[in-house]
Amino acid sequence: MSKRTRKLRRLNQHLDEKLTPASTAMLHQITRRICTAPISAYHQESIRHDVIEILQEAESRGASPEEAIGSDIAAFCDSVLAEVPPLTARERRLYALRDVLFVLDDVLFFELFFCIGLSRGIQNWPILPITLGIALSSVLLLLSKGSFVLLARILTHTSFTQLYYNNLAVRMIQIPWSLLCLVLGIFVKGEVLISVSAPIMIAVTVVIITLDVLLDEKTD
Amino acid sequence: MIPSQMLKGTLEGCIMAIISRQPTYGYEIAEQLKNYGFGQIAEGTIYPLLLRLEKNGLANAEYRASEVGPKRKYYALTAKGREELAAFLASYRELTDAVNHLLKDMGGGSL
Repeated sequence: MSKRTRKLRRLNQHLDEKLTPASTAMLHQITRRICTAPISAYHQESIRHDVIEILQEAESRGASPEEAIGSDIAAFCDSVLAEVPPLTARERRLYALRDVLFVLDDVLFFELFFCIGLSRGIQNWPILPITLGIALSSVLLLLSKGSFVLLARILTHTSFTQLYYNNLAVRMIQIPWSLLCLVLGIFVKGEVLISVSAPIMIAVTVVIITLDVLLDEKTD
Repeated sequence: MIPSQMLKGTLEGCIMAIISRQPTYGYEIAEQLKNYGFGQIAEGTIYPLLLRLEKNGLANAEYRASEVGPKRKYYALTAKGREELAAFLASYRELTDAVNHLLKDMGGGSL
């Protein structure tokens, strides 16, 4: 998520808290629809900001949210979304690439941690042996994070993936799952499937994490 | 009350006319429309039209401080918007002339 989107999002969260319960309920119904549209997160936050402005204006003159927005929320959202540019093919590719990197960086970091810290890697430095246990735990980690990202992309089309991933409830599932994968990697060592060079693996991990961070900053 | 179907084609032009005078925000546009006899038009109806004007380069938006809540988004007509407004006025006059002519001939009385 780019800096401008993050900044606007923080501002919206702050303004959101000042709304009355009726306006908040209306705003949340609108944002639920907007966040599933194939538009950039920046446009989603811009619309949210404008709707907050409309609702606060209404509150200040004692009008209800329905008087300001109208009673048909679906029609309002459809008419707004029709006027917002949809994601371009390039933006879609960048989002997809960023999500792939987002999935890979944890797994690579995890592999590296295992190889260097917990497996027989230190003894064979700079050659890191990938055991069956490490491979298995990495695949499980890849599948869990990958399926989460895929689900988030199906539901939201855009860049809320990382936002949802940092959600406390998601973390509560993800952390024990990662620990389970870690234990699996330690106790199910098995045979060495492949050996990789440590400097190459470190370089690949650093490049992927850097690309992920850069792309996240570049994309709305 | 003007039927919404009749309003549809003209509301965008009327909004352009309002913001051509001076930069204005959503609620003020709704108030001006009401004062001119358009009835109560929700900001939720005006906002998508303003987004469309902005998307098509016919209006610019800028945030200005407000005494209530967040900054207000003020819309101003661009040079391209002024050309579009002139085209709208020409088309609208042509339409009203034609309708007036037809209704007069058909015995519907003058408008």
